[in-house]
Amino acid sequence: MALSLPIYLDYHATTPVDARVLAAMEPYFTEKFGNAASTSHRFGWVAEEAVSAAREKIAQLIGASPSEIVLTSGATEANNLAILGVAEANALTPPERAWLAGGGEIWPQWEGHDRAELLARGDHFITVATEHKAVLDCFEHLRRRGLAVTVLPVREDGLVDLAALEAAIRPETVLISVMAANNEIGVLQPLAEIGAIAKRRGVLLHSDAVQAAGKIPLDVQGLGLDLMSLSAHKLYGPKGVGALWVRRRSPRVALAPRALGGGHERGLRSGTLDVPGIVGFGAAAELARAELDAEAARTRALRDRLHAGVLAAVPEVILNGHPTERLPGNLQLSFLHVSGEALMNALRDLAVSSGSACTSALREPSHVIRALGVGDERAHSSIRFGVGRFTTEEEIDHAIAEVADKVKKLRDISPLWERAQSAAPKWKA
Amino acid sequence: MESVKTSAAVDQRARDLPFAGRLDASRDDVGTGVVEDRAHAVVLRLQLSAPGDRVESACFFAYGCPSAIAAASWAAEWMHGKGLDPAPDPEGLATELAAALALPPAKHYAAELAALALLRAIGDRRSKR
Repeated sequence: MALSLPIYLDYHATTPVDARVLAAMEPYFTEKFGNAASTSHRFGWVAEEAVSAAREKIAQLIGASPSEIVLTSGATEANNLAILGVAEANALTPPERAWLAGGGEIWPQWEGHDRAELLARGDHFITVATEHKAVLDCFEHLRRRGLAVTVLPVREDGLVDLAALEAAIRPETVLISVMAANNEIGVLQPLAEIGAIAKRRGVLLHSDAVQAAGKIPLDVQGLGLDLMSLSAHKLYGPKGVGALWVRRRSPRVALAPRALGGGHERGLRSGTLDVPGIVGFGAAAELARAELDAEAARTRALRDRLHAGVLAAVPEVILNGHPTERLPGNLQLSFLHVSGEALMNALRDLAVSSGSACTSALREPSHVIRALGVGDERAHSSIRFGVGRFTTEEEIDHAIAEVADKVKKLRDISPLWERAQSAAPKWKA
Repeated sequence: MESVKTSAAVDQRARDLPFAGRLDASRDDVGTGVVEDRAHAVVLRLQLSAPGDRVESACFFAYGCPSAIAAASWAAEWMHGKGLDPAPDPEGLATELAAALALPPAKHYAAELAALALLRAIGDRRSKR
C-alpha cells in the first residue's frame, strides 16, 4: 500500500481523533444536543447521563472516583485550576499575611476559617525545570504575587533527584507539582517515590499527566497524588476538553475556582459543558484503558525500530533523556553538527518537531533541553519523534531512510561536521 | 516549539542546496570568509574563486536554520560573475538578500551574516593579490 505523505510522527503534539471516538461523539452534536445543565427536560437528562458516563470512564483510566473529576477545556486550564486554585485556598501571600498578623478583618474569601488557622498557611511551592509552560507560567504568576517557588533542576537524564526534592521541602511548603511524563524527552518521573515523600511531609502533590494518560498505567491512589491534569487530544480524543482530578478524601483538597458563573462542576469550574467533547474524552479514555498494554508494546517496538534504524544508518546521534524510563512512543535525538530546524525543514515527508526555535530575535533551545545541561550545539540539533496508535512499520522504515538521507546532505555542507571530521584548527569568526 | 514560518524561496534553497560546495582555501585565487554567530546558532562559510578580478565561481557551507542556509546559497549565487572591486555595500546586499528570500524581520540576521561572510571572502581574495 502506498504511503500517505507526510508521515505523522508528532503524536506528543496532538493525536487524530480515533474513528470510534468520533462515532461516539456524533449524536451529541445533532439529535442529542441538549445542555447537561438543563434539568427540566429529556434533552438535558440525556446529555447529563452522557457526561456522567464519560466522567466514570475518565476516572477509571486513573483509578479515581468519578465524583473527583472536574471537567475543563483542556490541560492548560486544569493546570491553572490546580496550581492557582490550591494557592488561593491554601496559601497566604505576604500582603495577606501582614494584614491578618496586624489584626485585619477576616475577608469574605476566608469565611469559615479563623485567624490562627489562616496564619498557619504556608507560602512555598516546588516544581521542576522541565515542566510544561502551562505549569511553569502558573508558578511564575505565584512568584510575582510574592509566594516562594523552588524550581528544581533535573539530572542529565531528565529525572528529578529525589534527595534534592526532599531537601527543598519546608514546613511552609503547600504544593509540589511534577509531571508524570515529559512532552519533549518523554522521561517518566518517579511519581510513586515523590508521592511517598509528599505524603510523609504533609505536602499536596499535583501531576500534569497529559502525556502519560493512556500510555502507561496510572493509579492516583497508588501514586499518592492529590491532583492530576488530563487532556483528551493527547489520547485520540477531541481538542478543547480536559480534566482535573481532585482528591476528596484523606485529605479533601481545598481548591478555589478560576472560572465563575453558574457553579458547574461542584462550583469548581463554571461554564456550559462541552457534551460532545466530554463524550469523546470518555470514549477515548475507555479505549486507552482497554488497549493500553497492547498499544504500549506496539509503539515501543516501533519506536525502538526507529531508534535502532537511525543509529545503524547515521553516526554521531545522541538520545536525550533517560534511555528506559520514557514513554513507549517517544524518541528525542540530537544529530550532531546539523541544525534541528534545518533537518526538520528538510524532512518534508515527516511531521516531527524540533527542540529549538527562533522565537523572536534569538535562537533558543527549549527549556527542557536546556535543563538537561547539554551544550548549545546538542540542544540546537535535537528532533522529537512521537510514535502513536496509527504508525506503521512501513512508515518507520521510510522515516529511517529519510532521516539518514537528509542528515547526510546537511552534514555534507556543515562547517561543524567538517571541523569534527578533520584535525584542522577551528574556523574563526 | 513554535518557529518563524519560512518562505517558499527559503524552503527550496534549504532543501535543494544550490551552490553548496568547497574550494581549496590555500589557492591564491580563492577567497574564504567565515562567520560564526552563537546567539543564532549559525556558522557560514562563503568561498569564491577569482583568477583575475572577476568571480568565476562561488560556493557555501552552512550550519544553521533554513533561512541561514538559504541566505548563504543566495549569496554564493549572487557573487557569480561579479567583480572584486568595488566590494558590495554590506547593508545594501543584506537588504537585497532579505527581500529576495522574503525573510521576516526575525530572520534578517541570516541575510546580514551571509553578506558579512561574502565580504570577508572578497577581502581574503584581495589580500592574496
